[in-house]
Amino acid sequence: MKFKTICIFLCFALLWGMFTVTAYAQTSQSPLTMADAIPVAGEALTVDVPISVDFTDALGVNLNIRLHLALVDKAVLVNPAECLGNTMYTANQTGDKFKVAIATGDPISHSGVLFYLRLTLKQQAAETDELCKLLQVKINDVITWQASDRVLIAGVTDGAVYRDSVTVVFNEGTATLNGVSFASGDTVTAEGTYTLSVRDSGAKVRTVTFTIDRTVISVDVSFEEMSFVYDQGVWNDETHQYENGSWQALNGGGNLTVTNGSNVPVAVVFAYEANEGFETIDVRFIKDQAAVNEEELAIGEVLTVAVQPIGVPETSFSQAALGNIVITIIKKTETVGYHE
Amino acid sequence: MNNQKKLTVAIVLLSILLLLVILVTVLALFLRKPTVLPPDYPPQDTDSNMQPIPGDSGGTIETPEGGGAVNITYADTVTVSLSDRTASLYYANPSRSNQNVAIAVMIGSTVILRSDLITPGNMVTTLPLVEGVEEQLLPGGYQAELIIYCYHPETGEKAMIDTRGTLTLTVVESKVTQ
Repeated sequence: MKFKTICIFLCFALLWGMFTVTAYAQTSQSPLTMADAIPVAGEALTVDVPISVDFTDALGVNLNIRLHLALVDKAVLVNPAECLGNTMYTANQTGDKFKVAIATGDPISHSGVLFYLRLTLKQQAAETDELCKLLQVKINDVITWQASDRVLIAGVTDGAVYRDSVTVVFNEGTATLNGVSFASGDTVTAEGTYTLSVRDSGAKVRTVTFTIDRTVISVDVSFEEMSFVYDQGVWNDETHQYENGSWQALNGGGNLTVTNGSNVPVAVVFAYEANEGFETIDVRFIKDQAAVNEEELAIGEVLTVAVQPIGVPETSFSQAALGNIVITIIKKTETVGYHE
Repeated sequence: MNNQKKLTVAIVLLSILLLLVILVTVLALFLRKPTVLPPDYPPQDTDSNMQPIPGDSGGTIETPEGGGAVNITYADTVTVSLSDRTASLYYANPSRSNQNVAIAVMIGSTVILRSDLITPGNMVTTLPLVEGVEEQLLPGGYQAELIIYCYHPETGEKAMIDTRGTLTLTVVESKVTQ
């Protein structure tokens, strides 16, 4: 008997424990995994690209760096005194050529990053990891390193949603946008989802998909004073309870108005969350003497509801916050023009 | 093995299991991240990403005596870049509002983005991800919720009306410009 009792107790305890563990597992954040981040260099429209070169016992080094002018506006050396020390050098840009000439009195050797080149971009590069591929480096006319032959696309990022027009630039090849011929530098303005395919001379194809969505939700919410007083009604000698209690809004307040200024119809959902200690009190939202929880508003439509507490307070109180009204705005699908 | 020994072994095994469960329960209770509650009084600082709304037409929303008025303007799409740990969004608090606002974006019960105060006449188009949340996101689409808390501009007291909106949140790996 004792054995059975102990086992039953332990089994119940284990079951309770397993439920607790299961509940924790469902609310923990472990199911999502980490995505690798791509380091970002530079500021809004500039990026510092490290130029790495190796040379041994050189008295003079000439670097010719080719810039992709479709994407890069200009290039300058960053803190050249720090990069090149006391070495004699000149640096200048002519068209798509950026030349750095280094001369020394004694033979010098170097390995790794020689200096950083700050590129000012014509528009934000879509993919930061590609910025280092914008260059071609020659030392004494010998190509030591050059951009990948992958098509470079700027202006749009795969999977992104834009609220404004986008100008798309690519460095080579021919392109189609949703199957229609598309030129580098063209601007996409209409709302929709687009697939851009760029094919280079080597028949390599790169595809990105993006969306332009100008939907803007804009609602005005105005509310009157939300102060209420509870009249507990009349005492019933037989039941020994107050009856016919009611709530009254103070100072003629208690109304809530929502105006849809969006460029789409919206649904407005009303809810109420009671504060701790006031769970016996709920709120109804009254329109035309009927309770409403959700209303759809056309563009420009105005909705006014009266906030009406219901229920009996558990204890007497004064000047207490009973709870929060929560208004949820849900977009409906019809889109009509752009409205700000 | 006699019955007494069986009883002892069973009790020991079950007790060990029970202790393990209690240990996990205690760890679960103490290591769980606390639920985020909106403060009754807002952060004192305005959001560092706040900027004036271009072409803000001004005007006022008719504000009843003792009440408040706020305009809520936002785009229902948010793009999160994992590479720079920021989100590109659009939320505006036009000058015709008479409330300061703070916003949060949540996926389920996880807070993804949170702003400081946005005063009337200003907007945010970029917000940093909440610390560490990038570890929980993968490229793709999420249904998210925008939560807007309103605060009285003088007293800082939180309004009793919260507003929420539904969002589509797209996570991409690369930097996004809007």
